[in-house]
Amino acid sequence: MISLVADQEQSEFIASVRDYLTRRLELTRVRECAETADGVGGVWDEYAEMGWLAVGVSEAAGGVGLSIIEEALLMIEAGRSLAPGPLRSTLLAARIAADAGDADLAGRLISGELRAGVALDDLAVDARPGDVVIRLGAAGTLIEEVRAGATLGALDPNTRCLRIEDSREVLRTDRSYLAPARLLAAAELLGVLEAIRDQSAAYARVRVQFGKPIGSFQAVKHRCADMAVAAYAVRAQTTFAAVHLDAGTDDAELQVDMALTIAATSARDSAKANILNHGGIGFTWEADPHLYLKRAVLLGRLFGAEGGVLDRILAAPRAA
Amino acid sequence: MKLVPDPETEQFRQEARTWLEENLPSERRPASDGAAQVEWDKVWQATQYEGGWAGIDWEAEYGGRGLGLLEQIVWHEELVRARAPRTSIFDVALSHAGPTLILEGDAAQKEHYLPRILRGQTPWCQGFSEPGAGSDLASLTTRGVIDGDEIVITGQKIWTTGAEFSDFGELLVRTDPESERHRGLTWLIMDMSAPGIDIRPITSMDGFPHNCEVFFDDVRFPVGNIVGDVGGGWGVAMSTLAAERGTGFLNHRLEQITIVEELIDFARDHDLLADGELARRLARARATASALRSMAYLSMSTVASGTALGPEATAIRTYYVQAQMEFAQLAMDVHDLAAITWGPVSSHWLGEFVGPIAGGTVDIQRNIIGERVLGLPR
Repeated sequence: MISLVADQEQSEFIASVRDYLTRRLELTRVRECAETADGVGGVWDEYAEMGWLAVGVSEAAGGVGLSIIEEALLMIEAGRSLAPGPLRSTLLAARIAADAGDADLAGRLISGELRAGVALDDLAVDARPGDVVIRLGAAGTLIEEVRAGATLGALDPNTRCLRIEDSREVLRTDRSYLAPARLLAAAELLGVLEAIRDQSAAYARVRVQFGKPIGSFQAVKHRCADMAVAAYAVRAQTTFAAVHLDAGTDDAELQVDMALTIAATSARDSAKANILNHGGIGFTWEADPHLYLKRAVLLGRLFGAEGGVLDRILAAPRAA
Repeated sequence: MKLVPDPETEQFRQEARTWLEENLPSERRPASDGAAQVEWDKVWQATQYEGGWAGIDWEAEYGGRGLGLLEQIVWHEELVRARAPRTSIFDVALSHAGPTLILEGDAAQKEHYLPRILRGQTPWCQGFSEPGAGSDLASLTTRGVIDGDEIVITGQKIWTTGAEFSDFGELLVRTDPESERHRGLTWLIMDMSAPGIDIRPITSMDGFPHNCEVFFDDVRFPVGNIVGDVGGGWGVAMSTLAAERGTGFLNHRLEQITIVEELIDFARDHDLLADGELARRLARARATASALRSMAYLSMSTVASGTALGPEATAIRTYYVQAQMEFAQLAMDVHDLAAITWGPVSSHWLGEFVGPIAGGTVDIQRNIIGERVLGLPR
């Protein structure tokens, strides 16, 4: 039996996540968070209180005990709302720690005390000194504590980057977590893409030029339609990959890589088209389209969607 | 949202796989002779019927098996895996005319026409487009006049694929001369052998006469050929479009996976992957083809969860035709100099230009998505 739509329990889970995000985390608050020192502000504690950081960790290890599918559903919603903070990598780090039997590390992550960013060579994304970073590889995974680093600017306003100057190994495993990492990124990109589609259509319905809503002009209408087509394809491929990864099928990693590559390019291209649909206001700081573009680009690069994933897709054996 | 092992479906898959291994035609479809191709297509369709694999989603009383969407996907996956022949001359009969009759036909029509389709006896064609009514189908002017127990047709259709080899056709005509647009139209079954029908093939840019002009000069059909109500033809035509969203031409969509896999194999065997740009395009193509299959599973899951497929599923066809064009171009680029010789690669590439135009242009599809899915004004 295969289903790519949410069942009753999953629908309730999505509804509870969405309820918080629409009531408490509107884009105005996301922008306020961006003005705080860590780009996240107080919302991190709220994620922890709601149990979001513990979703994929087993109940034995103090978590909620749901699967990678529910983590992906959470990230779709988080992406739609441009939720600040390193949710995707902290969920992943908690899973890695729990799998490795490091209950202390898992506990500190799911309580919200410790956040996990991502290490790309000497660049730490979403980590402050004292936070941990995940170093993903095909042959194994490291979690390191960032002890010192030089602050760098970041493209995404809610993200902070560091040049790592001193770090300490906290956990080492020979398991690869590339596939779950890429699935969560694809899911978050799907949420971003669906939000872009909805925002562009909403603007095209109300913005009037030449005496008509601009959505009546085919050039604009077709850009919006292309977003909807891409969103349908990305939703299909991402959910297909999620259920395969959860079931542990042979081609699960390939399905995830393919989901990430189309999610990354579709979200980025739609984000650009959204700016164009907005006209002059579209390229201002005040309007929201740039926030989606920047998050889409961050997520597209975070786990290698631009380069590495394509090589892996091509190298993968043919599906049976 | 879940994947759990499903012995019943796996058994069905094995059954399909075994049957295909044992029953695939041993000879290739004739390359260029239209009449010979049609005979070959009829034999393959009849073989599937006799094996119990024709119209697996059609009710048993019409010769089908009444199976669900999941089995349809599995069956089509196995057809593609086995590189089974396409439905070809039966495309319209199986994917369009049949489903329309199932939804809108009366008992006598269903009983007469549906089994003959599944048995491979009667190819169908589609008489919708006219010289002045392409994307704007509702502006069609071919006349239908009720005369006692007959309806008399005068006018012209165009782009009728396979008209000269079809026994029957779907015909959309204007029966109310005072009507405008989509009102006053009637959908009927045309017998292609009726006196007064003149069929003239049009040669496509790949050199083959795939499509025809069809002229009607006082052609008479019994009123019993009318499907649905007189004046209700637009609704009949649209009902099929809705049915088509989920499963229409599923085999063609799934086939794209094979096309891309063969390109990747060819590129690897010929050391072409060192060309970074070509390699990246092939990787993206693999992802795109996979998404086509995933979209079939998504629409299947939606229906299985009790939700009707809405216009958002129109996205499937839009995505498909764009993918198909890109893959045909990719084949030209992978095969390099074969692109400028006359052969399967260049011929396939030329043939794929019909994709974004036939059955409603991709631009019209985008309008539909913009207006009905996103609520944009007309």
